[in-house]
Amino acid sequence: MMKKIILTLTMMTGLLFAEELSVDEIVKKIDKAEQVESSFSKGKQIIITSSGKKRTLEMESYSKDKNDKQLMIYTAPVRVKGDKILMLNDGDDIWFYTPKTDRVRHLASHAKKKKVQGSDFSYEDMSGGNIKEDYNYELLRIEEIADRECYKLELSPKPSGPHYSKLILWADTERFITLRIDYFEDDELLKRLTMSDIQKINDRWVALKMVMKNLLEGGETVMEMTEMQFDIEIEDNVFTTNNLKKH
Amino acid sequence: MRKKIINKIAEYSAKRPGIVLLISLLITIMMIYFATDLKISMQFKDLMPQNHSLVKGFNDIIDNYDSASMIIVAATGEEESLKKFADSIAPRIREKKEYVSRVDYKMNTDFILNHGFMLQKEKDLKNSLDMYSNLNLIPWFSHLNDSFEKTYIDDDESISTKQKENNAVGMLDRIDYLISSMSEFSTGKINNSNSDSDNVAKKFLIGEEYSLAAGKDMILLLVQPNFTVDEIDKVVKAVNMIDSIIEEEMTKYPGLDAGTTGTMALTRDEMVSSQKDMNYTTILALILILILFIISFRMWMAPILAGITMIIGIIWTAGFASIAVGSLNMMTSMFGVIILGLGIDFSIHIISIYTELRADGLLIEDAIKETLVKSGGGIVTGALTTGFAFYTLMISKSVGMFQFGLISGSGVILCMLATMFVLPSMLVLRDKINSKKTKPKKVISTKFLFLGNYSRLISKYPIITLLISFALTIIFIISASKMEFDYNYLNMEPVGLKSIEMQHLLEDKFDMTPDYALVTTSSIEEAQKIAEEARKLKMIGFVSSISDYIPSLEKQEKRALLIDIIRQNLKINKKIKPLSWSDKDFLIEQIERLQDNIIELSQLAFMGGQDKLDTKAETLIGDFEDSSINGSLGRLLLILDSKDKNVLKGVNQFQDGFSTAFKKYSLSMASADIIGLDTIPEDIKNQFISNSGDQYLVSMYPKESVWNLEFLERFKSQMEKLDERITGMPLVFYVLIDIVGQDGAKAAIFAIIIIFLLLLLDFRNFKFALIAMVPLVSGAIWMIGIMQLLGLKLTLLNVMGLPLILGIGVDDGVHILHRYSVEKKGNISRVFTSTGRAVLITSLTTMLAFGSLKFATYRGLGSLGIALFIGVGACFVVTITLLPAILQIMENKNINS
Repeated sequence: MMKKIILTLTMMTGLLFAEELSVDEIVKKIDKAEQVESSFSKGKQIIITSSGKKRTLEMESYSKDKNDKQLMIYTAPVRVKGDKILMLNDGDDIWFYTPKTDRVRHLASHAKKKKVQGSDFSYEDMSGGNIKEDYNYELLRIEEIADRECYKLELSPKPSGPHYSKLILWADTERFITLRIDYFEDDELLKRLTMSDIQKINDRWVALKMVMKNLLEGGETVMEMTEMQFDIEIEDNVFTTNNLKKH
Repeated sequence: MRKKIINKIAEYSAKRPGIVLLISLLITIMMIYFATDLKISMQFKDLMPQNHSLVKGFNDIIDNYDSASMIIVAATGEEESLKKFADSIAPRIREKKEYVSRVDYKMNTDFILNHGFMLQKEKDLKNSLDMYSNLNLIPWFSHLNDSFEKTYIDDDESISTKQKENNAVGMLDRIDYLISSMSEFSTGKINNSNSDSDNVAKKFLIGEEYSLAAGKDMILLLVQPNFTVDEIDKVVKAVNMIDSIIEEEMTKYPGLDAGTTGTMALTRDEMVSSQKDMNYTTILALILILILFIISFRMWMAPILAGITMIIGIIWTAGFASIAVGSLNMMTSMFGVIILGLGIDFSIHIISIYTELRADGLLIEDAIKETLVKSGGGIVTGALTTGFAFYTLMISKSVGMFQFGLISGSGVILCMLATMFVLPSMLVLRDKINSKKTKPKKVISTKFLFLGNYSRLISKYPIITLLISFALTIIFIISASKMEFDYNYLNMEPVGLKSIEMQHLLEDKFDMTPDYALVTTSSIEEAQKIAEEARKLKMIGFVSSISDYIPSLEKQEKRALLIDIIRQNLKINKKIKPLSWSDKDFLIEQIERLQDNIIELSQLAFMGGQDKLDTKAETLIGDFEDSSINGSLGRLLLILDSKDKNVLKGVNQFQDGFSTAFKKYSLSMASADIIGLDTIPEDIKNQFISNSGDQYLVSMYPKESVWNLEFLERFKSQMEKLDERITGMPLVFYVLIDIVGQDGAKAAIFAIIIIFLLLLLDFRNFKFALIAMVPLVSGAIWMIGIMQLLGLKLTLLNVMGLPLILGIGVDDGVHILHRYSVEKKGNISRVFTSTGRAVLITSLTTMLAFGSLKFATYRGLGSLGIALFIGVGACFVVTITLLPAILQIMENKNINS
């Protein structure tokens, strides 16, 4: 009971505090907290195979120009070591390379809303963009998520934005990092992205674990980061098809 | 009035025990006669309200479509053995015309060879157009590669669903056969016989003929019986007959395992196992109870007499069930154990007091009269409260719950009648015979003094006891509020049954699940429309409907245009030129390109988790982790790389035979004729068209397992949006759980009211009636709370434990308060020493009876057994802890005032 009272009081205080920040300012702070000029990360992707087994893929990722360019290099298991996926133009162009054939393939018929190999993340979930440019937004209220006080925002994609009908986003009121996103399509809850294991790296709060739960199709994808670096120098030619063949 | 009746019974039993027993025997014989007609049906749909639209729809489909009630023969083993096994058992099963109307295990190749291209998607036809323009091996492989790249490599969604993955596995299988055959031609293992070339081309174009799994390690035969699943006798005989054929044939194929599955085989197995469950859990409970009885009372004859009384009670209940409802269902099949666990309590109270009185020196007739006077009131009230608590389940819309309430409630009351008439008469008769034969034995007093001491301790600290109990109850209320429902009916099903094992294997190897949605439509167009809409839904993995074989006219017209191009291409086909030595490198280049394509596909499949496709790809490209293991493509490349001139000869022989056969079959498949109902062969019609011929079945398989509440709720809502007539096992089960959950809660409230009114009538004292309610209400809360803390979930069956425990838990308090009202104030410890013993033993016997359900093959029954085991234990602890504290506080208050 006491806990509930304290929580309610905290939230009321939070709401008062929230009124000090306009929704534009909140969104600006979230964009600033989450957008990085460039990044490098190492991590794992855990997927469930069609016969129900768990498979863990390890990879390294590079991004530049606020995620407009991304390169994923699979490092383990041996089976996929050296396979690469290059995403350019905010996910509009996707290229696949495997050293086993030494060929680069353009995945031609994809659309941004399609799934990234084996995961419940779509290419556009992984690509860049920011709230201010891609969405119309509204602050709904302050809510608690995973013991953290959060701004609950409703985001309606602009015509140039993602294909979802709306997103509900919870961002930490103190750190301005996103802790949860609910993705809706035709007003039906489609997917839920939950961030956890929040840590400060290079003076920036980041979630080292992300779980995307597909509520419509079932199944979930877990991404766990083991190393992250931000605002580092990455040459432009890293994100070229020619570079894919370089080992 | 009640006292008078009880006195009369006591007097009659004491004076005329023989007549009472004779009448009881006659009634028992009559009930045995009725009970022999009692049937068992363990299907979930039998528990549902039969007028519910989902159940009606489901029943209609089962009645109107033969394909809905197949007997499936499934076998695992090596590919060649599986094919030979299927070829040998199919004609033997077909011979049994008294049960079987058809057996299918091979594709209808004639239909595919005549209309194959019309059944292919427009996109696939477009991608493969060039493959028919030049059948010389090098350009043909080049076009095959083009088609493969367009279909599978460029489109990363081409393997995104299970259906697409299966299609891709089929494609690789066909390529594998083609490449392996080419290797055999090249090494001279196969000569250019027409039949070999024919086989290669035919298999490449239409795929595997037998109903084999993607891994080629399982085969299916679909046996269509000429009766429905409701004809239980025929079901058992037909499945047994097929099983015996399987047993005989299996011995000829070492390493092969086979069995029956599907609705019919499950029905047979469920019936046989539930009959076994019913018998052996009842016998197990009876033995355990008698052992406990003998140990507690340190005598063996009286417990045996109690056992006989129980058997009579169970027979009477079975006879009643046969007359009232005719058959037992999943819920009522355990009535024997329930009646035994509860009914034995009445005998315990009688024997407990009777032995005490005999130990105190009373004569036989006086002792039996006094026994019934002292215990009769409690027994009658206990039986009525329990019986009526069970009857409250009859408010349910669920047929299963209604019948459970009726049979169990009546069973408890019938058991009480058997105990009141039969047991006293047997006790009197036994003692009279004993007294004539031998010197009267010294009757041992077996009072449980520790219970008296415990109640004395409680009485010293009543307030503290109440506070501790209150705190515990609050903790259990909190944990009970977190209780979850288990919506997966498979967790209710028996384990270790061959048909269930085979079904799981089938789900794994063929991605076939019984958990899909069904709808029947009145026109092909409607079936096509629903199938198309369903395919757009993200939750749906694949859809099967008549439209797979009769595409819409619009689609057929579009495909006809492309088929015309294929025909033209085939007709203007370039002449086959033998490959020269210099051509070999170009051929190798195309084979290597094909290998690269399949490597890329397998990499995408591995990263995407499509491991069936990845495994199939290995047969072509070898093992990535062991380069010494070549796939069929690697082996062909090694052969082509050799300098042996015979290789080229073999390749040319392959080219000649394959191109001729490929052209022949492709021309046959390239029919632009519009497919109509009259074109469809019987075995396909049988799958999708009702027996009356005017209804069409559409089956929609979810992408993932539906047994996750969130997914199931969404699946249900999407199906409702798609078409409100859609039914199927997951939807029926969801509604059933809802009904049982809601009705269980309603029945529990109703039971509390009825029990309270009966207690008021019995005690004619508001305070006593209220105190008697304490153990049952607290006990029920403790039961759910403890279950949640132990990680158990509510199931379709154990949810009934809530109203049941109210009916069962009330007895403890009733007997204690009845005795307290006889013993009067200041005798709390005496009450618990004597009646406490009976309450402890009755609780233990009930716990043993319910606990025995844990050993039932049906895990659903086990879930109820465990719930009631915990519940009865909780009620006992609450009774012996809270009641002495409350009674002591009342006594203290009276002294103070």
